[in-house]
Amino acid sequence: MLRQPLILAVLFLFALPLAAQDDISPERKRAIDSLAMEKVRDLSRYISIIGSKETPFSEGNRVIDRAVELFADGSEIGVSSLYREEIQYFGVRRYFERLMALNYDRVTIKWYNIQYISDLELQPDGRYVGVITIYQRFEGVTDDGLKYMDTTKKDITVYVERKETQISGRVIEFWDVLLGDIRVVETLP
Amino acid sequence: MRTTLGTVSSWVPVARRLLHLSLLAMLALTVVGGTGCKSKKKLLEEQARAEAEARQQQIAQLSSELQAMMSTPVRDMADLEAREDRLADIRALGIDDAGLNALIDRVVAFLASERERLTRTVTPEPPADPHAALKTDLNSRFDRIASAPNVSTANAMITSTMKLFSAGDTPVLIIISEAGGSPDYDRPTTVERYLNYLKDQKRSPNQVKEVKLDSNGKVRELVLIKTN
Repeated sequence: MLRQPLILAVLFLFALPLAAQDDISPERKRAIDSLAMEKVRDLSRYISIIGSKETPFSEGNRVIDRAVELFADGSEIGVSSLYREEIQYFGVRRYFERLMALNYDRVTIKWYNIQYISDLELQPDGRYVGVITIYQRFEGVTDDGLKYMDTTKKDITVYVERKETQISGRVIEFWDVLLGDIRVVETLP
Repeated sequence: MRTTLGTVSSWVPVARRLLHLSLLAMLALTVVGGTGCKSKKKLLEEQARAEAEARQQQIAQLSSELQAMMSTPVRDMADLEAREDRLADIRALGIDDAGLNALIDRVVAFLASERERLTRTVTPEPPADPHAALKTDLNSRFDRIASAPNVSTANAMITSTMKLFSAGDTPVLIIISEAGGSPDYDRPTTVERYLNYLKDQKRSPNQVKEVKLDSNGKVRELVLIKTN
């Protein structure tokens, strides 16, 4: 009869260190939160460079490579328009290539009100997952005077995972922040 | 009047003589006794005077000893401990003298400051960072790349900065927090990518924490720490 409680007690003792590993200090959690936020801000700047018609082609391609590295494999980005209800989703690289090739002579893209709408939470698979929302102001102008402007609210899923790699023969553990899908929430003039 | 011993008038002079003798004896005793008290008091007074003189001499001697303790800087810890021991002995004497106590207080303060000076001298200074100048230079270059007015200026600065590194793929580690005791890193990158990152983002959010050099004196590993 005493056997079952004993086994449970032993299992509980072994489970404690695993639970403790997941329990990171608030200060470390803040550092991870702000790292994820920084990656979104980095993306904002990359999108601005890629979209700008003043960016040389080679620079644009280099920046596309850097921007793609911010995303988890298979992630998609939504594209909306004031002129259609449907939201189209593209693979990340395809989205950036289309952005670079937009048929305007001047393009300005700005992100603002970047904030967490869902805090990073630890998932059973060991990853932290959260959602950051942004507002994107897009302005495209042609030399003919044609102008398109909209403001889109977008939700970006963020994954943070503990990984390790070897640097100069020693193992380095790091926090890998990867962006997931960017979903269009609403599009306004 | 007649008695068996004779007439009263015959032994009155004898009684008178006895009375005189008694008075003389009492006087003599008084004189002798008075002289004894007087010499004992004198003795005590002399003894007290001698003691006071001895105390004054001791105070003077200790005062000059205390003055001497403060007259020269302490050479080393052994010298300091010897002076502290002597001071403790003097304090243990428990001499109640305002001037001496004031001197003792001054010596206590002097020895405390000397101890601090010696400790400061003895404590080894942390070794100067041999890469301090390089770190400053790198931080300055990072700032200039981030604030370059245009892409070509930034690229020129990147090209010149790359010469300080072993190769374009020199690893760059970025510490985002040290709160957990061990550092938390961002995803490792390379110096070429990092310098372009500064150009693209137009800000330099990290400072150099550590550099490792190869045999040619070029940076073979760079560790940065997030500053904002």
